[in-house]
Amino acid sequence: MTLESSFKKVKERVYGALENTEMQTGINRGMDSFQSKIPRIRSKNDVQQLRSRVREIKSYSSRNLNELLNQVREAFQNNGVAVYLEKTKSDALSRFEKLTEGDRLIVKSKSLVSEEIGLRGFLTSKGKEVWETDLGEFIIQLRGERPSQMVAPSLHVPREAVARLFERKFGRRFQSDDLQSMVNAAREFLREKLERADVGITGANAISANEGTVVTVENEGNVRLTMTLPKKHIVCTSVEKVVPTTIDAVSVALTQSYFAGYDKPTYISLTSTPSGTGDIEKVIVRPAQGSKEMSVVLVDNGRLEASGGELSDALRCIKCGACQMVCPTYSVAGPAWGGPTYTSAIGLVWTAITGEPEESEYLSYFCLGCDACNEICPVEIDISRLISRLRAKGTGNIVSDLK
Amino acid sequence: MVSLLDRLDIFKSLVDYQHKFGNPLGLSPKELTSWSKGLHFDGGNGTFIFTGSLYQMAPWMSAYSSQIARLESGPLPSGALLKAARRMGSVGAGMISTIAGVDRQFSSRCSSIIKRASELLIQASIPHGYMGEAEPYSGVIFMELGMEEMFSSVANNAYSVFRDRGVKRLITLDPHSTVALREWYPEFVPGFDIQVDHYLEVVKPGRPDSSGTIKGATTERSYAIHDPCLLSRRLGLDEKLREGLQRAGIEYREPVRCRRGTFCCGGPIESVAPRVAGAIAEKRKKQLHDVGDRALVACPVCLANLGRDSVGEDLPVSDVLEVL
Repeated sequence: MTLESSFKKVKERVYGALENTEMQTGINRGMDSFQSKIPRIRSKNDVQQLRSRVREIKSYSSRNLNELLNQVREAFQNNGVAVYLEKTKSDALSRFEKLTEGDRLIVKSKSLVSEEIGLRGFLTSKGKEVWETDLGEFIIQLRGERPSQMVAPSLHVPREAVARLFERKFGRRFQSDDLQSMVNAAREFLREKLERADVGITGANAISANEGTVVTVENEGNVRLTMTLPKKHIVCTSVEKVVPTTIDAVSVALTQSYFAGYDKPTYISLTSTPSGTGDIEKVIVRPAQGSKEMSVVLVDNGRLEASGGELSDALRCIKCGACQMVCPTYSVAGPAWGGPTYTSAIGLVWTAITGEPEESEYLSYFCLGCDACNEICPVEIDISRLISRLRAKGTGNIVSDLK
Repeated sequence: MVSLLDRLDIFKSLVDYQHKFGNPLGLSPKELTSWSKGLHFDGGNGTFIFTGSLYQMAPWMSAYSSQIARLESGPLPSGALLKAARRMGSVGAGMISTIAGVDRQFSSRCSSIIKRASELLIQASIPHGYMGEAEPYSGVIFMELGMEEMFSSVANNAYSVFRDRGVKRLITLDPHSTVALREWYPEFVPGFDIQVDHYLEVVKPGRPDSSGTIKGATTERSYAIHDPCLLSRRLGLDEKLREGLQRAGIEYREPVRCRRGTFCCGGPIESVAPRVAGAIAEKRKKQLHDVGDRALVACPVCLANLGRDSVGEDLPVSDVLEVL
């Protein structure tokens, strides 16, 4: 009976979302905007070639994950970067507690893995002041919510709601059509935090195993500031982000950006070592202008166990979120159709892999099996089939009650 | 307090009725075969039309979903309505028809749709048989709901019927049964060797005039074309659908999401979450209405879900087999 109650809880949540017009306004504006960009993504030959190459890179990487992890750890150590492979959420959180010991102010850029392990809440509970520097993450931090989409975590929050939120936060009025004023307010507030922060935590779009280079792609400029202004830079990412070479890693990041709907990325950063200079007598001095220390926390949280299993194809996902942006169920249910971190489409599979298998099974019944996700996926993951495996497992659990 | 149906409430009735009636909604043999009344089939030398029962079940599924959606919208003063819903879910077509009120006109349209497919096959010089009351249900809904064991059992039984009837080739009418037979049967049914063609792959709509030119009636209405998901993305028949319409002189317009980028009607989850299915249908109807005053589909699931009057804009929906 417990299982059935949980299925009904998911259904109740999804039904409740059908009445949430504010959420639907945000999601639909975002989806319409994305839809207008699809023809451009499809018509560019170089993007299609890149997508094809990334498909091969990610296929190889997911098949050779353990070998690449050994390689990347060695590469990081050679670069003077501390690297930690953490099996569980609590292992990862303990690591962050140690790495930030004595630090007071922490700034973060967007990292789904950090959401997955509940990093911000954990660090806050340890008495630290933590601020999200990505605008979307900042918005959901202020609202006390979880991300609604992989690339645009506050997709469900329309401009009118952001104006009201910022009015409460900053104590002055914002016109909902004046987006620049809202962005300026966040910039002013966060810049002060960035300048004073002891630690900057970033994610990674991809990491090269051969050189231990972390590749990030962004448009706001906050990732670069987060990794360079504080003295301590910690990368919070997951094991499946490792690919063989730096060129491969850049290819993944570029593809992720294109399929997230951006014409071209504003910034791509490659970070291999803490900052330093050898300009005076060729003696390396750290830090120079950027961080003094760099650490990388590679979170497993179910991925290595999933590798080789029936959901392993999901490990090829580059988290561009395109599958979510074309999903009909997501268009009406929004983040209610999702787990604690990952929503809709491939997000259901990530929910299963990262520790919420039962929740993902309940969620799977709301998938239409329409293949819209498969059609857009740059690395051609058969997402519908993976979700059908979750559904089969869910039904398998109650099949004895059907006889 | 809103009461909602559990998975078991839904699944149990489907399984029970499959066991009792050979189809998951409990339709009678008469309801399944009435479309063929007065028609004669010559056997087709191993070629059979395969209805898969989906067009016949569409009016029942539509009525069932609408009723459940209403009940689940609550608020319910007591458990009485939920009990009614459970009863409806567990007693099948007879009670659905009594409680929810099946649209007999819709049912009659669905019969005509199947009949038209048979006529088009004859027109394309494809003689075919029909298994009548012996025609099995494909089992597709069980696979789509994750009941693989049940699907396997239904599929293997169906294959036995096909073999007994000497079936070499099945001509299907809907994308769901087509995908089931083409993709899942070979996986679940050892030795499955039957050729499966969707009717759009073989028919030649339109009538030749005295010069031999194919010409259909040009319609004054503007149809918004709705590509069924499986038809376009899985079977790749979006172009065939348009070719058929062009041959028949039917004018159509493309909505914002079309062909392989099409937007689902919501129908595949109408039994599990009819209110979600309805919300998706409402959205799709708006997209279709933006480009046409009528919509064209090529799937019974789309026909039922987009055609629900209770959902969204006033947009008449026709199946392509009603206009070809």
